[in-house]
Amino acid sequence: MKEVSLRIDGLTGQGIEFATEVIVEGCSLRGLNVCTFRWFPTIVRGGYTYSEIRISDRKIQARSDKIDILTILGEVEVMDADGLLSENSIVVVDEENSAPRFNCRILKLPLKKTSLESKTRPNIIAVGFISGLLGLRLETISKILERKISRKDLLESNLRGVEAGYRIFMDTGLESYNLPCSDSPKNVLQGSDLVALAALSGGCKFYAGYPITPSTGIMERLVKWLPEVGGVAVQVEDELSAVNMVIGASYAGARAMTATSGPGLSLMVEGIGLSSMAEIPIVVVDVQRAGPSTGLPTAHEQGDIDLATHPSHGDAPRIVLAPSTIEEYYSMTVDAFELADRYRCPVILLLDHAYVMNYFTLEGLQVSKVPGRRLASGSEGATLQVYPNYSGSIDAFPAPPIRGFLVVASSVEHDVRGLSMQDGRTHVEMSLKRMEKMKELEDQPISWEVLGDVDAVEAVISIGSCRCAVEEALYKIRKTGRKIMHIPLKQLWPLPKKLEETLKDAERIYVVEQNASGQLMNLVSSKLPKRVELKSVKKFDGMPFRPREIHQELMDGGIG
Amino acid sequence: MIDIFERSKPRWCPGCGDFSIYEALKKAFLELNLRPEEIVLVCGIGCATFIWSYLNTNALKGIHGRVLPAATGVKLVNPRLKVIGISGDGDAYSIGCSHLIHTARRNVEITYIVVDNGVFGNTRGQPSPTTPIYSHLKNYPRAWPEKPVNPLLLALMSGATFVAQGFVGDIDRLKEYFKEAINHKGFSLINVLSMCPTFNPVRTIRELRERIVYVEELGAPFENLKNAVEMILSIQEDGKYPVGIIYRNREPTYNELVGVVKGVDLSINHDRIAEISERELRLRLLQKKYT
Repeated sequence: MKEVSLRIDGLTGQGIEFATEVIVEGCSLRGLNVCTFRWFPTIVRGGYTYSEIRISDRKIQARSDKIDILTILGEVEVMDADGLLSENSIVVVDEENSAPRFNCRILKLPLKKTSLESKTRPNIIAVGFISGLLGLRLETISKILERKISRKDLLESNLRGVEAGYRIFMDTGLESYNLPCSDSPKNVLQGSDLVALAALSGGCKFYAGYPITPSTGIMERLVKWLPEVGGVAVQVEDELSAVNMVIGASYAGARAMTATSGPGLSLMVEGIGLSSMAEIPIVVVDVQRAGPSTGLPTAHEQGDIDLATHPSHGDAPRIVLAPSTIEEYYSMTVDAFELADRYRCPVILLLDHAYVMNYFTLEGLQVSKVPGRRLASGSEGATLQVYPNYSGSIDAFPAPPIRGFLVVASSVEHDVRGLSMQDGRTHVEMSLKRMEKMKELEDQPISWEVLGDVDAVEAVISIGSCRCAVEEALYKIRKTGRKIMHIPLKQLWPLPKKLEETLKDAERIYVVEQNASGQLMNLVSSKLPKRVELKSVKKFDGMPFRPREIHQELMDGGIG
Repeated sequence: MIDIFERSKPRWCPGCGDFSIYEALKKAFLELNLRPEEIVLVCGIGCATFIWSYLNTNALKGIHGRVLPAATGVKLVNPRLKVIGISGDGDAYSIGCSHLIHTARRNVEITYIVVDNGVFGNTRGQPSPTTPIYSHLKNYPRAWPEKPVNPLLLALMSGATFVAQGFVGDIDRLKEYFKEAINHKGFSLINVLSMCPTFNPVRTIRELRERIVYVEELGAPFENLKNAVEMILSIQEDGKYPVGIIYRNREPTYNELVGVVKGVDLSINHDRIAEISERELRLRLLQKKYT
């Protein structure tokens, strides 16, 4: 595998995001795979930030275990680089700033001086330098800038800056990395692109949401795209409004979705309960961020497992999905709309900050072509019910107006007609009816995979984006002859019965997740063999796992 | 004939103002020649919202305070439906107050009927946001220390394009306000002065009747916001209640503003989606095999 990892450190407001985009697009145009990770604070100007770009000839969806090129813009103290730099790494720092004491090759370059000369900014000079080092052609980078910058004078100064940066690279006499470039471009996009696109493919026609990091990108896209397919997206006053508006829209016949993050999901809980009770299908996307309350709004964590699987008072059926690859951000979002309509309940998509906001190369996207929602008509006549028992298929949806039939949906306990019934017998019957329909998904999960050695006595259970880091760690471990199976758990609720069956002979199970309390472990532990040695592998410092961190835990036997 | 809107016999406490709302609304539907299938009642929580059990129409019985967001979702998707929101004063002006402001300024075409009896009746007699300061109520063992909200001014200042106040003691006029509101292109608030003989001794129908002033005699409804506000203030300064259609204006509705005058198109056009993905993401979907 040929691979280069680079990182740009600096302050927010220095254009690190722009530099990342240009390099990512440059690599993609030259046929390389990329994946990125951005560490950024909530302050818009002057906070420490860095951007990681991992470039490879193979498909990659996890962070790198090394830094080959570290570019430092501005006077900052570099963090989170311990053990990632080697003597072969190159550190680029502005000649006017103090150089860090790393045991590697340090280049003091005139980034700022050159930027002033070409009337641009140091980030652009750095892009030119890095492009040279990566062996990307100057004309490739120029083409990208031409596409991104419409103001003519700005474009010209940026082109001058990139060229100057490229020249600095030539002057150093360094050799370019010999990356396997080609002329067949790759697709590169963010998780939010795929979720928004999948919403369209899944037949979503209505979106309501309130801005919240890191989910806002999904709303931005849908505000633009939904009207183009005859739908509508609304930015509302709060998450209470968002979830109830989506319920109203679904009641009236449209597949509908909202997206939020943990604090918003907390507010939506009452609406999710209404969706369960009134059996009105909705899709709720939760892009998880770190910590309780406001927490770390711009950091990565998987701490909403508890809330997503148990979001309401009373017995309220729901489905919770956690896609584990960037491709599944598309396929499982489409699934979410199908499942919501099939089982007439809320579907919560539990997504990761790191996948939603960063860039990934996408290959082989299987496009779903679902028919969308079929509405019931008056011709169904006497057989039509607002609250029928689950039939085993996606029934025509009763949305008003239906000739000769009134649609009565209710948060109050009701009978099959939707009429208010406060007696105990109806409550028992209807509670069982609502919960019964979840059984099918327990038996036949929408997404289930066992990776690696299916007959191994050691197993890893992972959630969400941990999957790809786990697979990289296991790739090394399996080469030593140790057999481990890996279950990326994608259907969190209802829990698939297969989990119990697959792991019945397991002797040691590692549960890999990114939160402090072991929420995934708590969720699955009742389904695991009683005598199994259970090891929790956790990380909750706001950043996704690196493969080597998981590797170390699996070699040490976990931290119990 | 009147029975097509009657699902079951209404049950409230004897003397409750909700009976008048029920009668007036039923008559309004009939006189407008509406069919039960084309009406959606969106109800919150509180005694008045039980009306969804008694009136024979489509209904979305939601949760406390969230009538207007749910009603907005319905109206945006299918504007051919007549969307009627029903709340009490607690639902509308306490737990759901922010939604009133935002729905009014969006001018979503919803008829919002708020039954204002100045008390939380369903939870048996606590003060509500329209209870006057210093009131003594059955289940609040002290004088109430808060000033009431002013629903009419709140709605006007929020941009509502139809603001009326009704009175349960005058069903015929109430019915007319409902009819006008249902026909109004835009958001309408009808605050209906009511009473709770069981839990609110402070406000009685006799007291209300003595204090109402019919605004049509004063030149209402106004199209001018300033005139409407001044009239409300001057009537309220005298300790009276303005009753009637106070303000009415035609402004773009939310469906018009967001481009769904005929509602959303429920069919999926996969070719159109492929075009968007190619334009926005340079992602060619049509090349791939459809599953």
